[in-house]
Amino acid sequence: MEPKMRQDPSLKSRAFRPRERKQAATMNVTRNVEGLLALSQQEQLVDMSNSYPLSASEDEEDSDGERKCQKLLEAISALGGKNRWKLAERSEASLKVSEFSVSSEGSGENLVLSDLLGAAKKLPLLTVVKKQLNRVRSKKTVETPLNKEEAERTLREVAFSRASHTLSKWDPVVVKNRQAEQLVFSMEQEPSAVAPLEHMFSGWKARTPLEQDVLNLLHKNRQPVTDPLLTPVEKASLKAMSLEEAKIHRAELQRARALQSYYEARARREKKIKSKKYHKIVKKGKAKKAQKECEHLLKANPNVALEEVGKIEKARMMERMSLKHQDGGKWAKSKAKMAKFDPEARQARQEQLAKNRVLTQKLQVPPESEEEQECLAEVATLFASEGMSDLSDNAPNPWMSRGDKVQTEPEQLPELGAHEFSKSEGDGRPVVVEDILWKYCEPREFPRKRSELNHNAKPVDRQTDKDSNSLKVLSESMALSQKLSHQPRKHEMSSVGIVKEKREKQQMIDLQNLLSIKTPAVKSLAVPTIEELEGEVERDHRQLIKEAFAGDDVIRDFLKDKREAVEANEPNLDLTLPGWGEWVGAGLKSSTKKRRPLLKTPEGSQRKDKNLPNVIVSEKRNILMAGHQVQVLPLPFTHYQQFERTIQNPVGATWNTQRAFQKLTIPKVSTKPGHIIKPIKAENVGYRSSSRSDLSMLQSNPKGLSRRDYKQMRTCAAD
Amino acid sequence: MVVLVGEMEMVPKPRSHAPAKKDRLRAKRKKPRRYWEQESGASPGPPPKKRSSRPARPRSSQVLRRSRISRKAQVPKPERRKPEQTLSGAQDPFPGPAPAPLEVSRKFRRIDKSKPLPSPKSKTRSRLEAAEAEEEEASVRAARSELLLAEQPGFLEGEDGEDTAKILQADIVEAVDIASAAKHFDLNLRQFGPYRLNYSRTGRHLALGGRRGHVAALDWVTKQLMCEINVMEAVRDIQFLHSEALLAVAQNRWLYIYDNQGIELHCVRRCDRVTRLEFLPFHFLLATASETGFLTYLDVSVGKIVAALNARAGRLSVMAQNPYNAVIHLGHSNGTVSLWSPAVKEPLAKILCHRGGIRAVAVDSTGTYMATSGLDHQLKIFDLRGTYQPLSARTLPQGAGHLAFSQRGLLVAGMGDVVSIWKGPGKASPPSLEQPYLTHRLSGHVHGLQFCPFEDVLGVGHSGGITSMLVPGAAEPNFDGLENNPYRSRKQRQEWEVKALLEKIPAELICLDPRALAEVDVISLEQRKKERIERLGYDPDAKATFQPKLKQKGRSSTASLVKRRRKVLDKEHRDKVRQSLEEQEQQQQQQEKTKPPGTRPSALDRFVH
Repeated sequence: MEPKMRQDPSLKSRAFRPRERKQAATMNVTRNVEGLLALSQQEQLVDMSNSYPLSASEDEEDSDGERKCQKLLEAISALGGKNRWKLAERSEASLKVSEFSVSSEGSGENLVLSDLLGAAKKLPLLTVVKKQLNRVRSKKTVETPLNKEEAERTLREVAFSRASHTLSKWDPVVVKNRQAEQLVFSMEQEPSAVAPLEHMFSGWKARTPLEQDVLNLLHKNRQPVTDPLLTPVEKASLKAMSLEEAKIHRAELQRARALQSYYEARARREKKIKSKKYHKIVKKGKAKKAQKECEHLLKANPNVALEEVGKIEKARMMERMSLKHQDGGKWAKSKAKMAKFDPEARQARQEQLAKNRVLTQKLQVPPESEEEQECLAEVATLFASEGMSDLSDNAPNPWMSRGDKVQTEPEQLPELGAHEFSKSEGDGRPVVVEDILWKYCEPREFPRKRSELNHNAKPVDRQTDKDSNSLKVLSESMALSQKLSHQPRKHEMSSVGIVKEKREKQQMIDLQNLLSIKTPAVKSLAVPTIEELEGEVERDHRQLIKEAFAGDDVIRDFLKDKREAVEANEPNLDLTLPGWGEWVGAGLKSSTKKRRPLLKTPEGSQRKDKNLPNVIVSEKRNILMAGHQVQVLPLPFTHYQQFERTIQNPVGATWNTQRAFQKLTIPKVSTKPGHIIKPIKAENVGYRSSSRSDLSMLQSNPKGLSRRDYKQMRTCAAD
Repeated sequence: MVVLVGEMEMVPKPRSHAPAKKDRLRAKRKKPRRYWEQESGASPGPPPKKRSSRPARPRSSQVLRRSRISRKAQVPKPERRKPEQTLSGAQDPFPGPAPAPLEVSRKFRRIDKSKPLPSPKSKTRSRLEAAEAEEEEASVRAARSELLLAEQPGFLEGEDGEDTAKILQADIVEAVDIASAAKHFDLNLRQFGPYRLNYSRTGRHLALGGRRGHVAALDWVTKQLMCEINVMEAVRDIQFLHSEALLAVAQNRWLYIYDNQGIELHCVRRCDRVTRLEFLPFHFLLATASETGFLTYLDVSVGKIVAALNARAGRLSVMAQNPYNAVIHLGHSNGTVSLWSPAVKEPLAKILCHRGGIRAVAVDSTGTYMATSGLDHQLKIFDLRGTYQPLSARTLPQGAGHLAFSQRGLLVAGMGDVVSIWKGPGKASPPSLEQPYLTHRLSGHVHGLQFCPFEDVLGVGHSGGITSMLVPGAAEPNFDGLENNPYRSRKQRQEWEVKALLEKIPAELICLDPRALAEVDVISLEQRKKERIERLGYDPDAKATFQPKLKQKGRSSTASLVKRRRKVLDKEHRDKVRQSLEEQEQQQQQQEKTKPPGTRPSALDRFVH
């Protein structure tokens, strides 16, 4: 709307006397104001009184005089005769003549409310109008109403947001119910029926003699029976605390609280300090203190000190595990750059490196006593053969403990053996293979053990003597037993000579004889040393066995089997085209280079027994078994390994305790027979009231909401 | 109910003038540890041995409050939490949740967390966490219920420098209580030749079959004879089926099944010339090895032959079962041991063990170690956990003809008329072959060996009859009353039978790794995925690889980026679909082309369209 007002034409056409004019002006003003009000409060009134200092009435007076003067002059000149035509003629039809025969003079100016009000100031009648005008001024303009579609859309949006807000209150409930192990219906929870003991007692009387006895006993001991909780003694003790004591106690408590708060404040302050140097110093101080304490403890209480040392050791381990002191960090890199120019940086870097060196240094763990050493050796022999040595957790890492003295041959042996094995397979020389395989089959010795043996040579000699003796006995006995197979008992008797008959029972258990003859001396063959392997005794023994089984070459057969098994699994495609690029004719062979298969097996599918020379593991898939396995991934899982993890724990009663079994097989939903399952209510899940009501209100009164109300609602929704 | 296992009670000497042998023989006895006692502080003696690896079910229902694992179980706490005062003034002597030692619970952990896992989405993660929590709780409960295992195992220990192998059975019998002493006996049965024997799964009953046709079953604890017959035919082997009521006897020609009254129930003609019998209790399978070289599996619950596998290695006379995974081990004359499952026609694995033929095979109860003895007089122990390498070996003077493992890992070898027993240093370790633990001489050559389950008794069948000898520490001291109850009544046995049948494991599930059932069949999974992709014409799970370029002047708003991406994806999708359609069309055309025309094309065909 245009903020301008045209002047009333009546004001300009005639001249009034001042009083009349004033009245007319007031009338005009009232009309104008009414018009303004009629324009439905949309007008913007601009105060422009400063730019137009002259009042309208004075202006009008001046222009009227001029006009009259001009008219007079024209009338006079018209008397001359020639210019008569001009009178009737309008020279200009432009701005100055308005449609309503009103001059548009001063059309660039605005009517300002304050002018009108200024004029109306003196009139007490216009107070009402003034008030109205003031109200108009204070109010803002109102925008045009939206069209129907938009209004409906906004309404829908708001309704949706409100509804989703009210419904989102249920989200946690829904999630909880979905994830719950079990849903119990109906949802109404009965109030817990645990009544206090005293309530139960109120209507109860002792009837049987036993009950009476019990009651008497309780009375005798002044235990509370009906009215609860505190025995008279307790009550008395409660009362016993005097006022002074209470005060002292309170003061103590206050003091403690204050101290705590001081301490907390201090800690908070210190925590905020960002200076690295400060923290470094603090840390160092702490470490020193700890060390001192540790030393002190070592004298006073060695056990606790040991624990402390363990803790320190653990801290060191943690430090070692972290990459803090490596050279690769941001800080370290920057220092490395700066080290050329800055001696401090150089120093810091060197310190860091030194610390790293200290941390990464391997600890020597000498076994503490002989017993322990023996124990370790025992463990070592247990896992003597290859691949098992790393399983012994208790023993210190052999790689760490072994010095340079011990040769590394035994470790290399398995690899070497495998290597030779593969080579010889290509050559087709089974004899070498046999030897290697045989070595492989023999349990190998642990390096630790051997070093021990080297240190004290005497026991070894004795042992070997024993072994050779026993082996001789062994071979003899074998030969004898072949001869005297039908009279083993006699043979023993003769060989031993002396048999003490302590008891009659000893007939059954003739252990002395048995031990001296049958079983060879202990510790001989379980862990043969390498020297012994080379020794003649062993060779004799092997010879014996070889002679015994000369007919069947077990190992060659096995290798053949294995080769067949391997070849059966490989894609055996002969891609050679005979004659291409070569001479042809009878008796000519295509070169080995061309015979090499072009197709290679995929690298991932290695045979399980590739490094196990004495084993053939079938690569065939168990299809019947696969039928029982899971073949489709259930939904939330994207990878089979994830799903496998969830089914690894067995559920059955065979593998679980009764309670665990019951818990694992709890039904997802439990209902009571004959109970109606009602829809879930807000009260059931801990909400105060039904949030459904808000929604219903909104739906019942969707219209009659102004835009401002929408906005308010939105802010509500956002909250 | 008293199980005299492991801990044999000493009886004071009746004769005062007898030499004091009590000191010589000292069974390692430990004070039973209560759950409120801390582990490290309580026993000043040797560290407690680990007990059974299997979670035994608690026999009494005990209410256990839930708690987290106490990680500081080893550290003795200086003071316990102050007990709460109750109304009556009584105090709870053991306040707080029952402790569960971390190590024990670790034993029952089933989820292998060492495997790397592709990072899961939040929904999946919650499921994984739930599964892990379940596992932890179950393992803690199992660990806590171990305190219900009241019996403690122990071994015979010699005095300083004394060899336990020199201790005679007579000494042991003298030292132990009367009930245990009664478990040592000899049956002098010289008439019907060397005996095979078999204990029932509960360890209560003993079946014996003499070579010359003598078959008998008895409750060996009470020495009550159930039946005794002569089948008038050579008996090769004898085996109890799932309960003591049924008895399988491998006779000269066929396999026969008798009940506990000695009445012949079945003659299985499909299994002929059987040499060895093994019963797989959880699968209800009777595995028979025959002279003809066939390994036959007979399902005794339905009476069907599940599989008959040709071992292609001649006469089969050495057989053992792996109790851990129900795989059958066959020993062959070419020095190999082959591992068999009824689901696969070929051996799962073949191990070259000896230079000569295999004489005996035995597998320990955890399925970790296999002992073999061959004609080369060697006794070897192999690791069965994937490597199949020998752990230790020993040459025996005569070579062992029979081998058997006890429940707690003792190994017995029968050599001629002598049996030697070796034991390992711990429960999980293989028996060390250096020094025998016990030895015993019999009145005849050994023909059959078995440790009695849940009793410290070794049964030896030999040419002179049957000997039952005491081997302290051989058997598991705690039995599971719902699984193998030696004291069960007839009614209980019947109930157990029904439950066991309901829980019968299909024969196809026998494989080397018994936990394979908890794995996804990856090959078929991939196959299905491929098929689905073929059906749809595109991979619905494939990632969108296209990344739109960034543009300037406001043309790179999120909406436009999405739009551009969408556009490209749609185009690719359309292309793929079009391509696959074209391919299909081409295939159809080819098929049409290859089809021989039914009728000769006529000139009027052109007007048909």
